Amino acid sequence: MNWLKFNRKILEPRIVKRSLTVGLLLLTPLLSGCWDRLEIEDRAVILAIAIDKATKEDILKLEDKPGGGNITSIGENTQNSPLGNIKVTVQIAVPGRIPLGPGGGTGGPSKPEQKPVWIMSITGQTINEALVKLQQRMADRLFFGHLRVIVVSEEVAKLGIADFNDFFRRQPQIRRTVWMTVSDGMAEQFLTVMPQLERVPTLYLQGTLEHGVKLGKIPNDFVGVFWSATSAKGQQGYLPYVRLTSKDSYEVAGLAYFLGDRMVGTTSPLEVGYFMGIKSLNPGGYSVLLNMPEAKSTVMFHATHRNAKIKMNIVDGIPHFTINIQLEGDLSEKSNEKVNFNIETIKELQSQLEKGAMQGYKNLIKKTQEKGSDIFGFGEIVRARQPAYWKRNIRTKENWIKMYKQVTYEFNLNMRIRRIGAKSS
Amino acid sequence: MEYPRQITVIQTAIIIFSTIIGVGVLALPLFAVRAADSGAPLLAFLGMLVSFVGLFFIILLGMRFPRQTIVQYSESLIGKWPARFFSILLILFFAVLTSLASREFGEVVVTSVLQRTPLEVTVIVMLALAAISSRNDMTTFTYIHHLYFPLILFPGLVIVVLSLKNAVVVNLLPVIGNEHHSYITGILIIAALYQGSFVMTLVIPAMRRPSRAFPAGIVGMLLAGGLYLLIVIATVSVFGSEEIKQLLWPTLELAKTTSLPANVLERLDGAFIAVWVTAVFTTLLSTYYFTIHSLSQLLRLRDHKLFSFMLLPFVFVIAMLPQSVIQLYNVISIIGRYGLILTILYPGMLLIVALIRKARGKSINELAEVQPENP
Repeated sequence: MNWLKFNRKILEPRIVKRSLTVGLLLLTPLLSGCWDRLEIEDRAVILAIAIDKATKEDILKLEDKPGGGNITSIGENTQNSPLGNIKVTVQIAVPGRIPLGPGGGTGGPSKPEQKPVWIMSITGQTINEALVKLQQRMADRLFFGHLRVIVVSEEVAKLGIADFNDFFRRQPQIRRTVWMTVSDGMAEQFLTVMPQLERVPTLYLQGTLEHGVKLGKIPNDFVGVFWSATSAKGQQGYLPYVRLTSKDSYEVAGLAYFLGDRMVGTTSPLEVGYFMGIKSLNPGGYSVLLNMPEAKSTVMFHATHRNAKIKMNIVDGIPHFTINIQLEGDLSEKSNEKVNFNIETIKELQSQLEKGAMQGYKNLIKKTQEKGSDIFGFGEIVRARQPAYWKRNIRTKENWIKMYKQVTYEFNLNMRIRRIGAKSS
Repeated sequence: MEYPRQITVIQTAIIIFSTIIGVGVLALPLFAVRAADSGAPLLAFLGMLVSFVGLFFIILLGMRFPRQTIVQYSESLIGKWPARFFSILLILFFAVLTSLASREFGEVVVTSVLQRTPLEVTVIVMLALAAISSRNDMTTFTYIHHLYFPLILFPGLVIVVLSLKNAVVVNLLPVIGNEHHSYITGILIIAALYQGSFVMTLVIPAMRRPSRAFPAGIVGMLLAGGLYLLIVIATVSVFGSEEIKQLLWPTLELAKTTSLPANVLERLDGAFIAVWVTAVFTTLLSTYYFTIHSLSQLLRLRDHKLFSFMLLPFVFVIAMLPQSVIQLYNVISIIGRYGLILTILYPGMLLIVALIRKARGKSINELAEVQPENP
């Protein structure tokens, strides 16, 4: 009889409720356990990726031994890309050695032999294959959430980067604000250079690009912008073009412009200035040398503000663009004390500037027209403002490439020298 | 059985808003751009108008039968058995809608946030949350929506506004889009995303003054439609329509690209996901609540709590049926479009019958006279 009583007692709703609550509370720790917990020291945080074409020696050196472990192939693989094998170099942050802040501190992480990053190379048929192979050789899980820069060598970029675009779009950890650049020569060099200003090489490379944007040297062209331009029907993509200048320094040497996913040419740095003028991108960042009228003297003009308005109409079935550019700037140097700035000389300098710039703008457009690479997005303007014309004559990206070679344009320039610095004349 | 008549006009609008804003937010720009490239914002707007027609029918019906839901008044309009048949279809449809939404939620989470957490876990946690919350009565249901409303609306707006930093106006032109051949399908797919507004039929019988269902419906719809429109405008202007076609969840990419000023947060996708989980929860709650509530009304039960856990396994199993994410989206767009028959055409038909037969439900006047604040 006793057990019956007991039984009835525990079936009382109040007690059932209470025991359920307690049970649930006991279960909570189990539920809150996180499958995706990954401690920071268990991650291989990739900061930068460089992609080169793999040479025979690379494959011999980096590949598994003949007959050794097969990692990724089932059956026969068809390699369609003209690229052949690629060599992928990654820069991995070493936990505990990444210095926090600029201070050297006492001892600790600043020992020169203790590099804060680890550089690894691997070859593969595609980017993802290479990274899978890399993971095979890595104790920790590869983590792409902090990827900052992707460097692609010019050789690879000219053969086509569709494969990388696909992988980087697909991989959810990678953000669209990553920088992608094309390098003159081997891309891996940009990961091995150890610049003095930053202890983490990738951060220096990232700084070069991001500060370039702030200084008005290059457009804000992170990989998302490049992808959007590559996808758009009336535009082509462009990427910053970097070049090694010495053993431990490099510069942004212009823009690499693309046709679809293949790089077809580069501009000079000053042409980036012209490009940004046409695109109305601020701040102005380039300086040019002018000749002081009636004197053997040079004057330096520094652009500070660019403003452009593009008008478009269809003339004889071909788009015609009228590009009005207003450029403002300062004079920052004059190499002769005998001549002075006054209203007349400034006017003359302005017209000199207009003449020179006019040629520069036209040359840049001509250069891109030869390749059909509309990095300015003129085609997008046609698509947006003349949809009927677009639908009748163009419609596809390929047709716009053909049409872009024929489009006509004219410039109206308005150069204004506003300030001359802290000196009186 | 009578509900406590407590829900105000603003609360009704809030329920409509937070029911509509749900998982669909992520893929919405993709659907819109596929159909009309740069005309996507216009398409989103037209989709809202189409689904507004459905809401309009529901509200008119609700005002004619201020004490009943669609399950109840349809029986007096078109006869017991035809009405029951349609009610069962509606219940099934909303059950499927709940499962698909929870599955879509699971897919997003597994793909982009918790990559090693099993899909089943994320789905079942979300469904269980909805089931537990659906055990409450209409008033609590309203309060839940009311509580989360600012948490969905304002962060959503902030993310959209911040992302406009990278906007390019040319991407939004021409306003009607360059290619038009799949416009109609596109409008229907978008309209399907607003189907949550159908819960209005549950809300009206619990409103303090059902006669004011109209302004509530319009405000709720405009809020939801406005947010949808803003999201489409922001994604299209930042990415361009052709790029969006390459992205499965453009809105999530938008949040990834956007950073708070001064790099306080370098990417907003974490914040966005948090907001979005809330939005998904409120949507699931509404659709699940509709399912179990209508089912209990169909079976003439006094209380719907019975079904809140009983239906859970079925909904979960349906959620697990699609084999891949590609199949899932095919199913979503097909079910969504055919669902419009149930959520727009069916109430339209009922309304016509009601108008022809001059049928009217009991008004709430006798009730109103008792309450002092309604003279």
